[in-house]
This record gives sequence, structure tokens and C-alpha cells, in this order.
Amino acid sequence: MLIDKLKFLQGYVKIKLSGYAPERFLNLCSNHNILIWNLEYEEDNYVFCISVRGLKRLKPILRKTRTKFVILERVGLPFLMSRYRKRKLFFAGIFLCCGLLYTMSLFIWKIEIHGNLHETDSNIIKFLEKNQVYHGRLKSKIDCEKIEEELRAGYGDIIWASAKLEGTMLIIDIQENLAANQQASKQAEEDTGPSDLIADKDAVIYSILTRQGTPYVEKGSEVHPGDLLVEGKNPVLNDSGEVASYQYCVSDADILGITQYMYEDQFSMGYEDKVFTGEESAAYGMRLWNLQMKLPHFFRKFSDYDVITNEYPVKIGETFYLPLLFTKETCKEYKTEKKRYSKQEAEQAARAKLEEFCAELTQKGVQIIENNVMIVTDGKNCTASGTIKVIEPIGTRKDTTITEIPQEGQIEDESDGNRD
Amino acid sequence: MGKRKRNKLNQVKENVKSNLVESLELPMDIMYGAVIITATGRNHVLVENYKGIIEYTQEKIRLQTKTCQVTIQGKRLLVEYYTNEEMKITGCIQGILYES
Repeated sequence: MLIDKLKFLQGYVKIKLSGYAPERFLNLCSNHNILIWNLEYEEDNYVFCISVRGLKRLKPILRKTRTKFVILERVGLPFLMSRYRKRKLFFAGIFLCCGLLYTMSLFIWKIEIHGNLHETDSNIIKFLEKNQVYHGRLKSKIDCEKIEEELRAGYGDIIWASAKLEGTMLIIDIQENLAANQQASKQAEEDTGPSDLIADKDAVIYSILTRQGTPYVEKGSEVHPGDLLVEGKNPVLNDSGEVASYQYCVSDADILGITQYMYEDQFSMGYEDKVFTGEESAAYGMRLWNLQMKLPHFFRKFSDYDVITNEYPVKIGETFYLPLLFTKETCKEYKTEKKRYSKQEAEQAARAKLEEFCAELTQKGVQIIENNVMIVTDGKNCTASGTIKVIEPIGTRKDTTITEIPQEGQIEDESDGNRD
Repeated sequence: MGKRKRNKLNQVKENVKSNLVESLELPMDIMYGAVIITATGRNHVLVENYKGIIEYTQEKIRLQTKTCQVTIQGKRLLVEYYTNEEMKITGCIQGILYES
């Protein structure tokens, strides 16, 4: 295989030999180390292949053996080159293409991010852009280790990051620490000065478990926004039962309160529905870097339509993305129809909305204990209103006010003065 | 008288050489310049240690070696390659003949 390629690169000819002593010719060739292959005997003639370099050394052998040769076939790159030597633009095109391909391969054309659940791709890409990593950046200027460090430093919840270059693609793998995310933010708060927990809404305390600080409420007590729940200071009493000083701390407690959510939702019985007519029109375009070119919609024009755009990037192999992509824009026509809900449908829709609202609440870590929402439909509107009673964690953080207590020493000083 | 003496001397030389080669286990092809013919299946023959081609047609290839002539008989014989050291013959091989 490889030898065939080498032969093609160097070029060889197929010749027909005839004359007085062809056998002697062959022996002389082998003695002069001239390679001959595919030797065949055809009607008093020998047909064989010989390299171009060997052909140039044949002259004395031909004279010695009184033989002649006719060239039957020329194979190889040197012959191809000489055949197309006048087509300068063709060669220029080949070199230009190679050059362009090479130049394009020096840049990054795609950034792929895997493993992000909390942060969106676009957020991370924006962050990378700020750190001088963007589409179209020279590959040589990208330092993968630096990207990893920046990602870890820039996002607290990314605990592991790996960046690698593959072809013209930058692949970033990250691992997020979602569970510890909230803990971490709490921890950050705790690191600051002493703080209290205060109520942020009207509630009845369902349970309270204090880890640090002085609780001011108990189970069953009613609280209003701004009420102190847990104070971040512990009084230190002296022997006579007076407050000698305060020990300040970051209060920490699990407080569950029963709160009420008002739910109100009203919608009209009549509504507009999109009905797709099935008519479509497509427009094609392409994008080179940021230059967008688009052909207009030739055939149909719609008044109301949805637009779906598909992008097809051009790539070589799996990872070599070129800065060129084709776009297909499909317009789907639709007509709006006025419809009315029936009573059942309206109730169903209202219930679905209510369930969605409840699901959102439960997702926040809230336990629903009572649901007093009534759905009423009249001729025009469907109304759902009522209250939802839930158990949820309450309390927000506020800095503790530091109370000054006159020092004992000062009092003593004063008394000393009196004595004098 | 002189001719017989020379013949005898040659014979002694030969004997010494063959004894030496056998006792030292030297390779035969190098010491005697013997031809090596490797036939693979019916269609390939590789010939090493030959001196030149005497005759070549589609049915017969006659080669000169140091000690004897080798004729390879067959049909549609083709020399795949041909160098100073070895040659490869393909085609339908019917016989390999040694003539001195």
C-alpha cells in the first residue's frame, strides 16, 4: 500500500521493450540496481514498469543490448503536475484552500459546556467572554488551566472544572455542588456579626427549635412582620441575678409557622386559540462569522405566523467547526379563532392553575395543610379565590442591636469618688 | 598428471569446506552461494541468490544461479518485481526444474 503511494509520488512509466537481447537488458538492469516490476512477456516483447529515475539511466544499457522501448503509460504525480502546469489558478486554489483550512483551525469556533445544572450555558459563556475566552479566539491564546481556575473562582458552586481543546472546539466539563449551595450561603451569613431572627410575615408558630440565641416566641404564639423571634444575645447574670453582660452570637433556629396565602385568579370564559393551517414557507440563509445573509420568503406571505429557525453548522469530522452555518427559517401560518370555555373546561383550567401554584409552593419546601379555594363560574368569567394554609419556615436575619451595659469598674470608681 | 592432481586438490578443498560449514553450522546459501526458492501455494515463487535471466516467456522462466540453472514452468508467468537480490514470480506454477 505505502510502497504504491511512494511509487505514485515519484512517478513511473510502463514501457514495452523489444530488440536483440532483452534478457540481457533485464540482467543489466538488476546489476545496475534499477528496479523493474510487473514484468510481463507479450509476443516477443517485454512489458514492465520502471521508475522515472531508472528510465533516465537506461541509455547505455539500451545501446549495449541493441533494444528499443516504447512508453505505453505515464503514471504519477510528476506527470500530473506537468499536465496541469499551465493552470496556475487551480494550484493557487489548492494552496489557498489548504491555507484557509489551516488558518481556520487556529481558532475556536464552538464552546461546549457539560455538567451545568444550576448555571445556564449562556451565563457561563458570558462569564468566559469577560475572561477573554470567546468564539473566534486564537487557540494558542487559550490557557485551559487558567479557565478552570477562573471558573472555580468565579462560581462558588462549581467544585470541579475541566477545560480541553479538541479540534476547534473548547469543551468545558463542570461539576456543581447543588446540595451544599444553600448551606454555603448560610455559612457565609453566619460568618458576619451577631444577628437576630425576625418574622417576615403574619404567622402562628407551629414549632421552634433554637440552636443558638434566646427564643422570644413559643409554639402557638402569633407573630407579625418585624416581631423578634430569636435574639442573638445571651444575657450573663451575676450572683445577684442582674444582667452583667451579654454574650453575642449568630442566632440559629428552625422555626416553622402556619401562614396563609391568598389565592385569586380570574379569567374570561372567551379566549383566542391558535389554529395552524398547515401552510408553511421556508427561507434559507447562511452566516459567516457575524455576517448574516438571508434569502427572502419567495412563495407565500402570511399575516399571522410562528417562526422556527434551524441552524446547521458546517464541520469537518466531529469537532472541527468552521465559522459558517446554514439557517433554515420556517414560517407556520396560523389563524386565531374565538372560543368559549364550557363550565367544566373552565373549572378544569382553573384547577390546573391552582395545582400549578400549589406545586410551586411545595417546591419551595412548604407543606400545605388547608386549601380553601372556591372556583366559581358565571356567564363571563371564571373566578378562583380563597386562602391556602401552609406550614413554612419563617424568619429573616437582622443584625443584633448591641446594648451598652455600664461596667462594674466604673461604678466602683464613682463610689470611690463619693467616699472621698 | 597435472590435471588429475589439480582435480584431487579441488576435491580436498571441497571436502574441507563442506566439513567446516557443517561443523560450524554456517548458512549454506552464503557459503555455497546456493539458490533459495520459496514457493507459496501454487501461485507465488520467490527466488533469491540468482545471477540472471536466460530466458523468459509466459510459459517458462529460466534462471542462471551459481551452481545450476533453474527453470520454472507454468502458465501466464509474471515477474512481479525484479531486483539484484531477489525476484518474485506469480502465475500458475507447474514445475520447478534443476539442470546443471
